[in-house]
Amino acid sequence: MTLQKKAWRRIRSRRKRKLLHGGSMTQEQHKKYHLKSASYYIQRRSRANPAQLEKHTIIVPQSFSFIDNANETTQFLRKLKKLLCKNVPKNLSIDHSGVKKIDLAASFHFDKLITDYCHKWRLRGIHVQTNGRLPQNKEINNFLLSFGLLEKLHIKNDFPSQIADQSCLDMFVIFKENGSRLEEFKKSQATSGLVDFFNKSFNENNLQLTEDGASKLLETFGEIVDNAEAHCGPFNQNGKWHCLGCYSKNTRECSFAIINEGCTIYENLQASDNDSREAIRKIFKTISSKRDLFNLSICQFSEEPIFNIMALQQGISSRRTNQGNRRSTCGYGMMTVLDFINSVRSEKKEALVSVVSGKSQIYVDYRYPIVKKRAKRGNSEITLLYFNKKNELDEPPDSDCAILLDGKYPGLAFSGRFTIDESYLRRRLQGD
Amino acid sequence: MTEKSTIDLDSYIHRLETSLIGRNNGEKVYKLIEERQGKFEILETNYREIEIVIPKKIITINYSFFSGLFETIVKRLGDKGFREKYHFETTEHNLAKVDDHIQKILSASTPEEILNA
Repeated sequence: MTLQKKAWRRIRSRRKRKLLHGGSMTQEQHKKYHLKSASYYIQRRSRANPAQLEKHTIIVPQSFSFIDNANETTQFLRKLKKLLCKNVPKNLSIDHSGVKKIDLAASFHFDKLITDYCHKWRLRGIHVQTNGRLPQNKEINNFLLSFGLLEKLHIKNDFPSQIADQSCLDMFVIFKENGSRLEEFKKSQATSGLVDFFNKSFNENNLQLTEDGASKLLETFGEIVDNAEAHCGPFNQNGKWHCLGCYSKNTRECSFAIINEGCTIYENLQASDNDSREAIRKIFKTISSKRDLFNLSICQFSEEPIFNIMALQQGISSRRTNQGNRRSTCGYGMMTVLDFINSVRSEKKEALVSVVSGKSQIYVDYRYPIVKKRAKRGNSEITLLYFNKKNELDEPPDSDCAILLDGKYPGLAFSGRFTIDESYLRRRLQGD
Repeated sequence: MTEKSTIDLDSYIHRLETSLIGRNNGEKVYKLIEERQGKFEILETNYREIEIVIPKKIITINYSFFSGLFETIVKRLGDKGFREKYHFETTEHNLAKVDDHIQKILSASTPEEILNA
């Protein structure tokens, strides 16, 4: 071995040692001494001592909800995803202390990002450490321990009673199911599970879904889960859909979410050769011509929120095509679910449904009634929901009902919550 | 013309399925039936009656699945023709659903009609 080569090797091993002890050097030196990338040495160091890893501090928004604060929530999740996909392991410090509101869809997405991140590094032999601060609200702590991140991270409930209830697991009725196109039967199981969850929630209030009611729910949630599966992205990507349900026995609040990542409603309506697109475009033109020039909201300029509002209406779907007789009847799920919530919601407490897809959120707070009409042809009954005082589909929607988001949510999150009021429902049942 | 042909849906659906959901599943069953038992048009000419057996474990059959499987046939034969040719062997609840779905298929409006209602 030449002297020159010996010297090169000696310098290389010195450089290697430096990197393993946390030093850094230029890319040219990495190349010159045939050294692996900087992230490789960081990972090696982390394997030996995870506590030495740098720390990501994640501050969860005050209102972490796809229903109440979709814009900030989707932005936060997008930034977090970007942060966690970097190829350098870091310990996580999660600050929930400011959280005052949290919902199923937001919690689910957050938990998934965190657990996937930990799992990714565990596969490479690095145990990323997680710690953080709990919310001040006891009800939210109970939720995190029974459904949210703390449950996902298998954190035991050893907290004092002023922070979380010892029996918090018994305080919720919980349902979680997921599936993909590769498991066709899962749709049927998830739908049955979701209806069972609603029934259990009603049972907690000494009420029971009738056989006919349960079957109707099974049918309509089946439509939504089927839709979620169909729009999970290309078949080869095996996109997943998720059905979630959570009922709090304390607050009597029943929440649900059906989530799929993949294509947005707008993308589906634009891409496929469906016959809904042209009909919606005509409506959009009419709405645009009626814009209130003194009170312009951003959504009035954009097609997407209008497309999403129209896609909610019964019988409007991206899967309705003009090819012969096939696929000409679709789009019966969401409006029937909205109708169901309308029929069971408490009159005193709010019931909210949110449809977040792409760059838009449709916010349903039942300020306007759900209307059943007869179509001019065919004599079929159509259920419609208007979003303006005039109760017209071709009038601009209220700006707080059709919201244009700053960033894109890649998929569809259909989520909602309502409070079960036993005495009100009994009064209604007797009246009926 | 032979008396009766039976299509037992139990052999076309997943054993864990408890409700028939999804247009794609309905379309898939349609294709499978045509592969195994022959085209529906041929079955209709060869047999006086076609019996569809929906297993009792099926709690409900939703509109998407039904239209994925029977939409073309219902539209081709019409209400009366379909009911004369096809008979369903299932629970009373599912029979009522089948009736509803046939009506829905035949009275479906176009998106333009819906949005201008």
